[in-house]
Amino acid sequence: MAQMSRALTRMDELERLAQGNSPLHRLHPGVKLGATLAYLAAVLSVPLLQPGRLVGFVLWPALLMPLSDTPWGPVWDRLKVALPFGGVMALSNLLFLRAPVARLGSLIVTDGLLSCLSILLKTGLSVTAVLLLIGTTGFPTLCSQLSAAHVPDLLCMQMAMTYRYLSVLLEEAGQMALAYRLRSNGERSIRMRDMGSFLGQLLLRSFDRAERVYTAMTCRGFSGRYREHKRPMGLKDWLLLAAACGAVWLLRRYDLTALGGLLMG
Amino acid sequence: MLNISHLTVSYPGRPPALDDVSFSVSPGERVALLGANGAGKSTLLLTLAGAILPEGGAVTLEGVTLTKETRTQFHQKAGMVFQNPEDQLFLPTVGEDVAFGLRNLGLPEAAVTQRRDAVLERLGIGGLKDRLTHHLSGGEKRMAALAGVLAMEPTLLLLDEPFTFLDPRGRRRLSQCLEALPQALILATHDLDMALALCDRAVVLDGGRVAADGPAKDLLRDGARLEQWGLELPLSVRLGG
Repeated sequence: MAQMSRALTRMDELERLAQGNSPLHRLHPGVKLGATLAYLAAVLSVPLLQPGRLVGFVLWPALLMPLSDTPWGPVWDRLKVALPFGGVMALSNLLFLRAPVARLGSLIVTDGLLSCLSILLKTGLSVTAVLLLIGTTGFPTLCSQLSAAHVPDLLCMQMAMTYRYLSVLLEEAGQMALAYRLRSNGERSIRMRDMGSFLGQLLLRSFDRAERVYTAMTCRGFSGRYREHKRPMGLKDWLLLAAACGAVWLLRRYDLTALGGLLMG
Repeated sequence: MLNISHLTVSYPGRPPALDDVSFSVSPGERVALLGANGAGKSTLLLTLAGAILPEGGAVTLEGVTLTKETRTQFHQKAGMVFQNPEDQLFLPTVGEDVAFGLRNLGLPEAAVTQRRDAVLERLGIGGLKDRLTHHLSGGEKRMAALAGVLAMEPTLLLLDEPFTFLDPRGRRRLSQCLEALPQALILATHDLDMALALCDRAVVLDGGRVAADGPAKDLLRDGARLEQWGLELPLSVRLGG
């Protein structure tokens, strides 16, 4: 039950952050989406054997997070979930790619080590950028903006509804887990022999609930497309987007670590 | 204004939830829809809101007959407040949720903002506009759900057990709000005291059929018949009010 509540609170946290009023929050969602996509493309395009070239990209969250009053705590909590996925891939590179490419004192640097560092950095930077985008825009607005950018409506609706129903599912699971615990004579978790029926009931209940939510939506005129006020991007917004993309290009073009003679040279 | 004629609705594999239901509602009239659990109250409200299509008979609201083609007009004309406000509030903030229906009507953003703010102020919840719906109390959620429906300016308001989850103060506040509304209103409830206080007329459903239709103050004082329909005398009547 406590885990469910924590998960719900975490989901809630991003939406709460999105209600902020920082300069970044006030930007047109299209600017934020476009700039984040450019940033992701730049980060992912850095060759795996040049992790030093990713260091400059840390400037992006390092500048934007204070600017948007986004605390590190919630971002770090989510990074802890995402990093192990990148970590598995990074580890396999570390183990299987063993060709030496440089020597730092007595340490032999292999291509596996470089690509391992790259993958971890890329995962961290990409997830942070996306979290920053959601935390300053809000998921429903983001889906609406994707729709405006001609991403198929069906896909956008699915993303928005999945996000919404995830909290419904967690709420239902939380209530059921509490009811179970109160009648389970001190059991701290659900016994395996009860798990099948628990999950079956959860599925039925959340299906029922989702249907009621959907009915409520149709009763207020919903016809398969979430309509949100879409302020068209003005000249100022386009200029801002161009400036952001320019900054990303500079980060990608120039190796800050090489300039400072810091890491790889 | 609303005319229900020989309405029949069934769910697959079950006996009819509504069987030959007929009655009318005049503009501004407040009707209590009473009946035991499973009597068909919620099904009737969902049908009137256009969420369920009739299997037989007809529902006509302001000259428009409910069909697959006209159900969107019913969504606008007949606003439904669901039993559990959690089912109805699905956008992050109250303001966005209230604006949801208005945007679906295709209104320009200035009109959306104006109508949204006006309804929030009218219900006394202007301060909740930017609050996350998850963080509202039960009473606030109920008022926010009502605001989302009233913003669409329906001519008929359908309320499914609106007083559940509310404390006495919340019940009083909601009751005062409902009393001040000019719309015709159908109130499905087990709270017979509220039904007596708010509605002049009561329609009793029993097993999906209309068992009685008449003045609320007469029907709700008839203990023998109420018991027959699985209901009880309102507390105010029992105490001699």
